Amino acid sequence: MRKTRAPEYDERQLQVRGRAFMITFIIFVFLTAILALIEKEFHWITFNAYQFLSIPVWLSITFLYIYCIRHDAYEGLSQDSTSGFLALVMGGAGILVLGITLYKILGRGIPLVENKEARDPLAGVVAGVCMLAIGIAYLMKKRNEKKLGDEEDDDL
Amino acid sequence: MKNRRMKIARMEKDLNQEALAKLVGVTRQTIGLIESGGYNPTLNLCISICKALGKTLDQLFWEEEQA
Repeated sequence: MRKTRAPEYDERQLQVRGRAFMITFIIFVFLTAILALIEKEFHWITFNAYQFLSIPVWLSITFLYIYCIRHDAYEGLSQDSTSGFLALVMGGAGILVLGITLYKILGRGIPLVENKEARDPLAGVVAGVCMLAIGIAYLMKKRNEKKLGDEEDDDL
Repeated sequence: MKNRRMKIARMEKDLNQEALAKLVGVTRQTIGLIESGGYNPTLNLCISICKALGKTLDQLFWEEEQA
C-alpha cells in the first residue's frame, strides 16, 4: 500500500506556482520566437541548435525560480533544505560557468559573436548569469526574511 | 483589505504566525499575507483558521458593507 504524503505546498503556493509555470511557458515561446526572428527574418546573428534551445530555456527557468522565490512559493511546507541547497548550488555553478566562459573570452580570445555567428561562450554567459541570478535571488530572500523577523505586530 | 480581526484573534490565542501556520497546514508567509490583505484564502482554509482560533467565519471573515 502506498504511503500518503502530506501536500508539499499550501494553496497559495500552488496558485503562485501555477501562474509562474504558465508565464514561464509563454516567456519560453516568446524568446524562441525572438531568436527565430533574429536569425531567420533579420539575419542579424545565426545560432546553433544548442544555443537556440539553451538560451530561452535558461532565461525562462530563471524567471520561474525568481518568481517562486520572490512570492514565497519556492520552498514547500516542510521548508526542507533540499530546495535551498539546490538554489545555492545553482549560484555556485553559475560562478564556475561564468569563470570558465570569461576565461574563454578573455584568455583565448573567443568572441561572443563572430561574423554574425553566435559562438560557444554566448550560451555559457547566459547560463552562468542565469544560475548566478537564481543563487543571488535566494540569498537575498533569506536575508530579507531574517531582517523582517518573525512578524510585525506594531500596526494593530 | 487588512484582516485585523484575524490578527487580534490569533494574538488572543497567544499564537504567532508560524504557530498558526503549522496548525492549519500552510506557510507563515500565507498567514502573513491573509492578515495583510495580500491573499484571499479559500473557504477550506478560512474554516481551518476559524477552528484553530475558536471563532466563526462571520467573526473573522465577514465584511460589513459600509454605507
